Amino acid sequence: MKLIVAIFFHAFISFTGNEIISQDCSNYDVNKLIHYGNKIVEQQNADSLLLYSELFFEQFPDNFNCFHLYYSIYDSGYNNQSPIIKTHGDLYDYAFQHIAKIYNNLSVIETEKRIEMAIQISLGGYWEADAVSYFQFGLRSLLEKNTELFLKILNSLNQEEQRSFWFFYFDGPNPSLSTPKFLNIVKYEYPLMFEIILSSHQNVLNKWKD
Amino acid sequence: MASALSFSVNYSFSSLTAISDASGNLVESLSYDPWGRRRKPGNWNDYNVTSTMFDRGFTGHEHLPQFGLINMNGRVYDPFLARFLSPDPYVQAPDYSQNFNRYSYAFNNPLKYTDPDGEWVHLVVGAVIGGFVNWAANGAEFSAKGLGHFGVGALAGALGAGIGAGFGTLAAGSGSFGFMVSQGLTASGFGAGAAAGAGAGFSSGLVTGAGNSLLNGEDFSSALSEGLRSASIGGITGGLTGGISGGIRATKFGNDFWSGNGAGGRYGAILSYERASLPSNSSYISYQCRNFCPSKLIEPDRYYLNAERFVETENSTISNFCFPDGTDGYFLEPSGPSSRIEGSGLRISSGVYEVGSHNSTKFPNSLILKGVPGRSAILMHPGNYPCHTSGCLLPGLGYGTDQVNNSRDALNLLLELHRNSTKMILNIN
Repeated sequence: MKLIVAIFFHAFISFTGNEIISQDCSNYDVNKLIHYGNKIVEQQNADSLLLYSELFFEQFPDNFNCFHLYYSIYDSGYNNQSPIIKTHGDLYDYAFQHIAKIYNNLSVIETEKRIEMAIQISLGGYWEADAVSYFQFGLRSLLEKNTELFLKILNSLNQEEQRSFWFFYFDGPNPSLSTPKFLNIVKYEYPLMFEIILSSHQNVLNKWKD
Repeated sequence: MASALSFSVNYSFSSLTAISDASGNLVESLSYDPWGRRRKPGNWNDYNVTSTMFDRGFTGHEHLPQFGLINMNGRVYDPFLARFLSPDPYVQAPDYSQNFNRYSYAFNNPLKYTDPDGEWVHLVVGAVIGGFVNWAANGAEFSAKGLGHFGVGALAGALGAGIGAGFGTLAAGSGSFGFMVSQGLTASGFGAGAAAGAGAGFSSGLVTGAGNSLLNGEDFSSALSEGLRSASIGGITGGLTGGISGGIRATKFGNDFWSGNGAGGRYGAILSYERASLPSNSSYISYQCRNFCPSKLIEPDRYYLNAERFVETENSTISNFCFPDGTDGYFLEPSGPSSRIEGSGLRISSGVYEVGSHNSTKFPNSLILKGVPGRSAILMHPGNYPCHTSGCLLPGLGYGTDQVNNSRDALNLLLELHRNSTKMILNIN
């Protein structure tokens, strides 16, 4: 039931113009994700950790729409007259464990695969507290630690996708007024992308300005 | 403030009760109930006092009418609840059960005591009674020597009170009024009562014995000898009376006379007493969170949020508070020190703030703190990491290093509480 409500919610949001693309999310098995997540937390031995990490990674939603659908929360909004009606994603209660604790630390997975999936999830994304915020935190760390490889993969995307990625990368309340110094490398190696970075950063500043 | 010269009349525990002009004509009358709540002087049932000439009032302290609170310097006090918003950092009299309720005002006995700064009433009371008793026991002379006896007694009384046995222990130390210790009611049993009484009696006996001997012209070794003798008497007397009263008190609460243990339980008995002593015309619920959260009081239409900062890193500050169901809530703020400078990016000053609803494009469903010194637009809005705030409070249901989680759930709970209360107040320390 919660899933149906959530799908309707997304359909409504898509209809009203936000950049969420309607996608089929039914191929993700929630129970498997929970099971694999629990096994990783148990950390029985290195072999099983590798196995369950790979299974978890394969099963993890690889686009923002499904990621948001499973891990986030939708509410009717607050007003002085009526209580807030909340609809949690099926994995809402596991958001912190699955994203902050596991997904952001899947070092046993090949870095290139992790970067590719992180970029896929970021496309069309926007900041939100909790699940999205945990993911964005891990994304920023992944980019800072693997800047060259990350930029190389990003450069293979078209400009709109790059714009979408960088918007999500910078999005969030209280955005920094300048771009991080470690991105200065982009200015010389990918000048076109640097322009996109500056423009996306400015869009975020505009979104959150008072 | 009146334009002409005004005179205040202090009466009853230094409370401001009347204001006159230079000719002695009454300009304003003031009245308070025993717990300090302002009421109309002509009708003690009417608490609708909207404004007064001065903000000083009950026991000379500063009233905060917009919050219904009194600033007692060390702590902030709510005369409606008859409780402080934060606990007393000291338990001055461990053999006195009232002192274990660290939120209560002046041993829960406002007709007898005041709390000058929210923390050390026991020292003043101990000193005054100790001084008087010692002065009276040594001839009650109105002379320099008599003043000296009063000083020695005051020192011993404050010392005895300060180390934990309250004003009655001085009398035990002097050997003259030892039975007064029995007024230090406790549910802790004979053992704990005897230990507390003996310790306090010994120390105050030592001071009075030695001090009085020196005043009477004896040399130092004789004074020391007399001090030890008085200390022994004080220790034995205080121990016996404290032990007996502790045992009787323990029995009264259904516990063992000697150990204080039993079905009632030490803290169970105290909590029962605390609930029974609350004003009878309102319903209150007391909650105690699991971890760092201070005990707090809530009533249906006014919600008090007591948040205590307990983790500080170079990136953030995390505080803990209670939700009504007893679960813990947390706020993540920027790092310290606290700042009143707009745009500093540091956390706000500790204080008591009214919470209102807030709606903006950036944060459509959030809450705002009113009257934060030097800062504007301090919100409670969703967020998880220090980069999400430059002064606002990010609520959460869990916390880690430089983070809170389940922030939207926490904010939704706070919004619900705000929606169901006529006034919501945050006290953050």
